[in-house]
Amino acid sequence: MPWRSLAALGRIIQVAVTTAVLIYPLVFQGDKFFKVRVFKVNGRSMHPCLNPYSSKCDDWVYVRDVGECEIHRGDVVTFIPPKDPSALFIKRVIGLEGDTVVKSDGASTSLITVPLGHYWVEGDNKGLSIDSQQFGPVPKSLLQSKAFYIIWPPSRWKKIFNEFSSECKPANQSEI
Amino acid sequence: MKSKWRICGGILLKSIGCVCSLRVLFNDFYFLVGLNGPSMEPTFHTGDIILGERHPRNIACGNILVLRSPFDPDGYIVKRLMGLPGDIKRYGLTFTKVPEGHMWLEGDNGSNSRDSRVFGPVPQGLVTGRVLYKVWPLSDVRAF
Repeated sequence: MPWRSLAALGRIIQVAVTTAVLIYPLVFQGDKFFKVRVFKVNGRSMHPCLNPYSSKCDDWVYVRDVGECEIHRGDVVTFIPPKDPSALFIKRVIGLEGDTVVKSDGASTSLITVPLGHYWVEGDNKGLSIDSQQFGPVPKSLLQSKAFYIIWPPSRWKKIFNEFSSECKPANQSEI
Repeated sequence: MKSKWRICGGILLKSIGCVCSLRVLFNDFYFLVGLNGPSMEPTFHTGDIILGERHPRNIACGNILVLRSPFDPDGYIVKRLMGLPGDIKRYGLTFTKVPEGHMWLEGDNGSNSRDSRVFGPVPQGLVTGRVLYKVWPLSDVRAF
């Protein structure tokens, strides 16, 4: 009976399409529903906080959308770098708008005031990090999310604390 | 004969599917948005509604883009793309070379627009969409 098999085929296609339509937003757009995401960190620019030299494999971090949380000095955030719209960087916020930060070009250093609506971000691993020292302050609008936990590998499972490495500190915020 | 529960279930499932697919279509691929402000006159006026696409590829000079405001993370602006990396733009007596990964935006209303002539080139990472059609008012529907 060709009609019956055709109807069955139609039914199967209908169920498949409905399932795909229901599942697609949850699986592939889930980060927009739940405002959380998991990233693998590449490179050593955040040593020793993320991907320390002693670690054998790359860290995975749990991040939350930046609209859901406040940003303070010392938070680890992900953002689109101003010079490359296809990349995503993870760095630490050093200065908020209005703070004075130290910019060092090789031997000389200069003091810079972070403009309104911008952040000054730096990697913990100075010298091996492409950060605000190279491309200047980052607009708030380019920030994507804030990192909360290292979730993989299990031996490194921990909360990412809001702490500065010894060298990265805002110039006019000595009490932090 | 089908039971009424089964019919109700089918209708419910189909309506959920419709809502989900419309949501995906209008959040992840296309969007409708109303415009506000004088900066794009005479192309757009306050109250116009546009249909745009998300994550545009191959943006070129002359396209009208929707992007996050460089100064206000919650605000969006609509401007025309007038320069890509490497272009040299002049405003008044100042010349600016657009740096790598940035772009130069201008409103069509040159005398009443806050754009790259005021705040300089902006990063391309701010772009969220490109304007495809103007769908309201109905007397002035057109493609870009």
